[in-house]
Amino acid sequence: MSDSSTRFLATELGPRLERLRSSLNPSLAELLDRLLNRHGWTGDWGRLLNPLGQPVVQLPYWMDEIASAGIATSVLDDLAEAAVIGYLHVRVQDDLIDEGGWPVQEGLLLSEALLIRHVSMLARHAGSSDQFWTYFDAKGWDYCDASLLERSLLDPGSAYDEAGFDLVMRRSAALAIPSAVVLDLADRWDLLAGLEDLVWHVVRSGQLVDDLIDAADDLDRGNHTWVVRRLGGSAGREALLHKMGIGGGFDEIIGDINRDLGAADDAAARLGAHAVVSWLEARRAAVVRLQESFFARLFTGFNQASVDTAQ
Amino acid sequence: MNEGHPLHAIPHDLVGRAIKDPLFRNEILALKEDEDALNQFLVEKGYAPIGHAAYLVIHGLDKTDVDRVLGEVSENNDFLAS
Repeated sequence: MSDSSTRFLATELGPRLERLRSSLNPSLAELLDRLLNRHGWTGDWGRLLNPLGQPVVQLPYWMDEIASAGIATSVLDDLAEAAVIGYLHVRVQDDLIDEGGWPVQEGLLLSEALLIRHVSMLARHAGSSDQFWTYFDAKGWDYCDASLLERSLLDPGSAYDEAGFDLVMRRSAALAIPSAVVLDLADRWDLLAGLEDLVWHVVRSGQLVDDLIDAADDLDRGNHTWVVRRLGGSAGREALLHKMGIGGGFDEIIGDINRDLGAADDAAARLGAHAVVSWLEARRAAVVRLQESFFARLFTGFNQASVDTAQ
Repeated sequence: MNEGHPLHAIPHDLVGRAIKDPLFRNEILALKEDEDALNQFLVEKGYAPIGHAAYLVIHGLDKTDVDRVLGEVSENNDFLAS
């Protein structure tokens, strides 16, 4: 539930990160500070709830509601923390691999420290469940395999199509892992397929938003994503910008995003997930705002003209 | 009204529709190289033809504008990437 997520961010996450920080030796604590500063995570965690972002914090609370599990708040908060720490772990890897944003040794070891915390937080509640840890292995290795595949597909010399994009999306599907602990605790593994279907379409739509907004930057960094290619980026930056703004490319990708949101709606309905339906409505509205603000800004001169006309 | 402004001939409702209606704006953008065809399209849609100065604004939209907008949109959308 979004109320639980809001409470977690307002009252829990800060102290939990501080406890983690004070448990680390000074050199690792300094690296953690650098990570948080690098991304502006220095107190205001509200943007974790931005509907255009991935529902990293919300998922465990949503699954508790969907499964009618009645799991203790403190346990769900631990799983939300595991999700955030897992996200930070991925963030370091992306900074390192995509942008060379860390000295390799520092990035590698900070990522390792965060992964250890992510796993230990899960283990507190998953215990020795074979079903969960088998699932964890599969999802974790999928993440690694998809990340490796992505490195090769981003190369301008490779072919990167929709099938490749879906294989790479297995990176983000790992977002379901903390929620699988909820299924395990509630003995509701029957909901796993529904959870994965929901997560798949939610993260796919979110990734397309991210790749659309970052398309020019991705191209500049030599990362030829599927979206970059669809926007004609293989022919260069000017071609990409033209296709995106003048040639209907922005709307084309938004159309894909909306199709995934429709599929996510269906998945949420099948799960009877009312809180998720509301969140998806908020994401859809945010996508509309994004689309309209893009073209409103593009037509700034036109808007000035209409102001003049109205005077 | 600022009669001297080269853009004043673009009706407010046309701008609003171009922002909100993807099919409509993509038709306009597809015709930005052809003033006569653009005006014919607008007339078919119930709008008055736009003047030449206003046409030049549409015609002049290019990658520089898109680049600027993309930067602004990116700056104003701070969310968690996958």
